[in-house]
Amino acid sequence: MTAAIESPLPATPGPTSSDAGDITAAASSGWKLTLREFTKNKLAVTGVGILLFFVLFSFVGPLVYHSDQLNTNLLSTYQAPGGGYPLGTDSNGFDVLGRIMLGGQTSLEIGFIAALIATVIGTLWGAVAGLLGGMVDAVMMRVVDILLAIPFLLVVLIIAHRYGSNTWNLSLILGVFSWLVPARLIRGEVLTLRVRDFVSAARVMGGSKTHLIFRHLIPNAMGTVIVNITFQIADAILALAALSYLNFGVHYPNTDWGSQISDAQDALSNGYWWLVFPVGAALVLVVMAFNLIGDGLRDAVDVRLRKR
Amino acid sequence: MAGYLIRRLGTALIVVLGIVLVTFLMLHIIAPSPALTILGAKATPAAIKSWNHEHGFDRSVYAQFGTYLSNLLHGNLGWSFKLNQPVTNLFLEKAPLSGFLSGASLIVAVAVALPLGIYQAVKRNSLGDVSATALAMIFYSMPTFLVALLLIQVFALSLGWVDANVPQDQSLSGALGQWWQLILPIVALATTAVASYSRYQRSASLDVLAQDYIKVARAKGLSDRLVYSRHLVRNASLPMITLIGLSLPVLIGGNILIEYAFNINGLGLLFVNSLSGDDYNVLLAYTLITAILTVVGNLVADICLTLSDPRIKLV
Repeated sequence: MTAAIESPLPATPGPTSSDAGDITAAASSGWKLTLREFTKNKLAVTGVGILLFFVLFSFVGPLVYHSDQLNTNLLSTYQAPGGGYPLGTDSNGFDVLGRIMLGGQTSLEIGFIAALIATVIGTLWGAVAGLLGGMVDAVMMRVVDILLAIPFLLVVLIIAHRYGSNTWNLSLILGVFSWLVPARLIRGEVLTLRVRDFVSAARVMGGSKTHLIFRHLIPNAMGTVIVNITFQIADAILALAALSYLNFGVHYPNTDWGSQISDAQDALSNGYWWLVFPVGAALVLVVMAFNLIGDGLRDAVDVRLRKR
Repeated sequence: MAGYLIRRLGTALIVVLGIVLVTFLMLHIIAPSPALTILGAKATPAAIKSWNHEHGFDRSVYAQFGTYLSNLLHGNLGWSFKLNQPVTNLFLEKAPLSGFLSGASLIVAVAVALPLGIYQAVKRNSLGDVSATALAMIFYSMPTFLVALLLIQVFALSLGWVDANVPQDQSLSGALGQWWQLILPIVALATTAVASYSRYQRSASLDVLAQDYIKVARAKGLSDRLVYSRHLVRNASLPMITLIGLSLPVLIGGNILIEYAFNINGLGLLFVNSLSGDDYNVLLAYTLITAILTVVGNLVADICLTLSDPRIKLV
């Protein structure tokens, strides 16, 4: 902006064409810059690669690699990897490779939905608290403080034990109890945004509070929201794994990665390692992929904010 | 300082009261009365009604909350209908072992993460730094129970150095009689914590290394050893205090998974067993105590931070 003021005359030879170019570049540079910075980050791109692989593996894999995950086969339980079973079979005679694909669907779905729910609630809560300020803000943030002090895993366990056991309920439970961190982040962001000139301008022009939140505050806090969503997915997948490890996750015929590890842990002492470690590796890789993407996005968004 | 303390204590008290209310209401909405679980699925409505009346579950929510609150103030956490004894006794019996697990793993984690993070920052981008970062990334993404299973596979099953089974003694002294069996659970808990602490410690140390006073110290001609021990370590360790205060609920959540994985007879396992037995007074008490510990932990961390860093002004 200052540069434009300092040069009253067009310094460039072709004024019209270069002006037009500058304007479009300025309009789109924010997210383009983010994308460019993100693609430069090798770890983050690796994360995207791992994630894409597991999404294809879980959702397209079963179409290519057929295995019966409904009928138990008690004649071929605990088969070691090899032969007709690339990763062996489990205590019910289910093919482990196919089972990991099936479990991946649940884990990824619940992770996505829970993170989405948490982010929507958290963003709205934080934006409203930050914009209104004063007493409302104080009360809303004390509510966050109180809920934040109650250990997440304990609450989620208690409620999942009562109402859990299918994809939607578990997503809802995990989502409804993990919006506190995004709420704090977005409130912080909104506190700095709401005193900026364009928000004041919108307010002076008579924009309602809803208009301010949805047209000005949330769009400008989008970078923080998207970075947060990635970490939320990682956390939700881990939390789901913990729930199902303690046997409060989804039930047969459905399965997820935590339940598979839980079912197999006693088999470990019999030497049936293939029941625990392949699915464990899948879990760690997917969570790591989301963490890597989140780190990369955070750095990229940061750069965008600095250069804007 | 005194004014700040009073105000912080006041807020903490409000938060604790809020926690009591929220946990009570939550369990009350989920399960208004444990009668059906206690009496069995075949209990007649009349039997349930008389049981509810006998134990006060037919009174209004306000009356029940009042009784609960006054019991709490007298140190009475309620009655475990499943185990037929006061929850307070149960907790006093099992808390030392669980507390030892959490405390020991916290100490191990800090003792490893602090020097590791500083080393990584000083030797930035060296082979050691890169591999430590990679390992931290892996363990940071690994659920605690998977770390436990991995340790069992390697050290108990493959190498045979320890037993996969942990002593069933629920007293601390009994379990410590076979202290080597507690190594794996403590290491499993500490590994997860080290993975997250060392990341913070590394970035905090990098921030400090970029400060002017480090340049001044070097310009004065101090040796690297003195620069690091006098100027870097103390300043870079400050964020760790806050981090420890914040990580209490995570640590206690980890305790549940670890005690379940190793079958350790502590509070975490009691919680899981009470879940399936619908023993709501135990669940309520455990959630409440953990939440209060979290509030106290944050408060203590803030106070420690101001005591160790005079630059932080409390107003």
